[in-house]
Amino acid sequence: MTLYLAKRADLVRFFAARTSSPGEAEDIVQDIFLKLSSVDDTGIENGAAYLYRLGSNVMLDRARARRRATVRDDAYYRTHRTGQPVGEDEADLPSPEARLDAKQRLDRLVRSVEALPPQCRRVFTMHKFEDRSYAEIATLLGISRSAVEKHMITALKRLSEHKP
Amino acid sequence: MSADQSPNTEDERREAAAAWLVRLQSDDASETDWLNFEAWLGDAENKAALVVVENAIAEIDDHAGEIAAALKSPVRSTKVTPMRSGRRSQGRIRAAWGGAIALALASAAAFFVVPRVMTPSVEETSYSAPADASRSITLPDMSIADLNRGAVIRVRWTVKERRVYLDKGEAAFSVNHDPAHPFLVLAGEDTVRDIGTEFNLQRRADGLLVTVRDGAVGVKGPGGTSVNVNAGHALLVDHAKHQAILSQVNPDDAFAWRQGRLIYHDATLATIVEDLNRYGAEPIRLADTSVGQLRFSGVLMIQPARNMVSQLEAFLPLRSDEEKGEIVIRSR
Repeated sequence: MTLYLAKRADLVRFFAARTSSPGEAEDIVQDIFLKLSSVDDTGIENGAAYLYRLGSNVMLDRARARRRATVRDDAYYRTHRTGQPVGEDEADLPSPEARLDAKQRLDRLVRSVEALPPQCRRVFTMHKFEDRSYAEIATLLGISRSAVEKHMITALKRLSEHKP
Repeated sequence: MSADQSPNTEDERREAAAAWLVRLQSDDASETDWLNFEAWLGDAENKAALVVVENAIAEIDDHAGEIAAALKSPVRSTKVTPMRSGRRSQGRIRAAWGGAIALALASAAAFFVVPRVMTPSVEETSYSAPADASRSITLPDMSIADLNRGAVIRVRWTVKERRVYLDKGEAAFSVNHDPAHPFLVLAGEDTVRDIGTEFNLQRRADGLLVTVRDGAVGVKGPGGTSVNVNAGHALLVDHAKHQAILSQVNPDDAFAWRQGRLIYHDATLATIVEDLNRYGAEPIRLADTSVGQLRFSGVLMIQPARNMVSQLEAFLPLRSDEEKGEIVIRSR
């Protein structure tokens, strides 16, 4: 907790740069504080780095929650504008056009994953879709952890290409 | 983990972004890594590349189930022959042991590969780093000396000991331990005696700053008394005040110059300006001592003097003017 107080300003500055939003940064750093008070952190080494990692996870969770909310709102407004009757369940369903767009994007992603080099694809699939840690993947494939990281880096780079 | 060269193409930036995201997940990532990442993010184009990669990850994460189901002939880990047999539930434990064993093998290999040759020689070789770039030198015993910009060392191997003279500037040493041949660095009046280790030496206006990352060193000043400095500590020898101050530090910070960064925790502007004056061709002067007492925590990227002062202006209440070929800093 002492470390948290000492690093608070550093963390706010970092997450402000990371999210381009000082307000969001304050919220994230506040969430770190809340998480810390519910966790026994006595055994954690490398404390400052831990705070940054904790904050990054908070940041990703918040971003994910916002994306879900946006998807719901979009669907809601679309159903309203087309004048269709709106029920609780239907409000959560995207319009046919939105569904088609989503289908195309999904197809494109699937093709990109399939186009990865075999070992790279194997590492990526094990990590993202089988929830395995890098260390587990390294052991299972008989390669080094840094090789696993390299495959992941290649995969992320390739999959972020050609965004529409 | 570092972004040594600044990437230029969008492609390279995205690759660097992916590398940061992957590597910062690791438990091994240090606070310095995060601060280096922050400095990297300071570049708008880097930031843009990061957002592209993050959006791709977000899209994949949001549709993980659908993508996994749609993949043709999914590559399943069960098809892969594990290195050793074992139940799946032991995966993480085995992974940890695998790492330990790999490490043990690596050090065993290093043990056989590193030559323990000590050529008797009294020849002296001089090395220097240019003013605008650092330089890494492998010494005859496979120890490594990384010279910061403008540093000058002389290396003299004798039958009894390995001697390095740090004549000017700053250098980091990673030393192969050899009890039969002590490794000594002579920096002006001070002698640093290595006890098998990694340490950084910075010659300052009035003394020497010794930071130890691994192992320990003995530092002997002109008075003849020796102080031991252990890993995670720094010793500031101040010849003007005839004192030496030992403090606990994050040793990674002292080595950050090798990645083109200077990292400060609550440092006075006076100290920072002394550092900057070792890097820039254009001298920087403080208008008065009170401005020198301003304190700064953060990362500066090593750049021309003008740019580094601008980096500081963004954080501290100060302004700078160019006067007769020097940069003068005043309070704002």
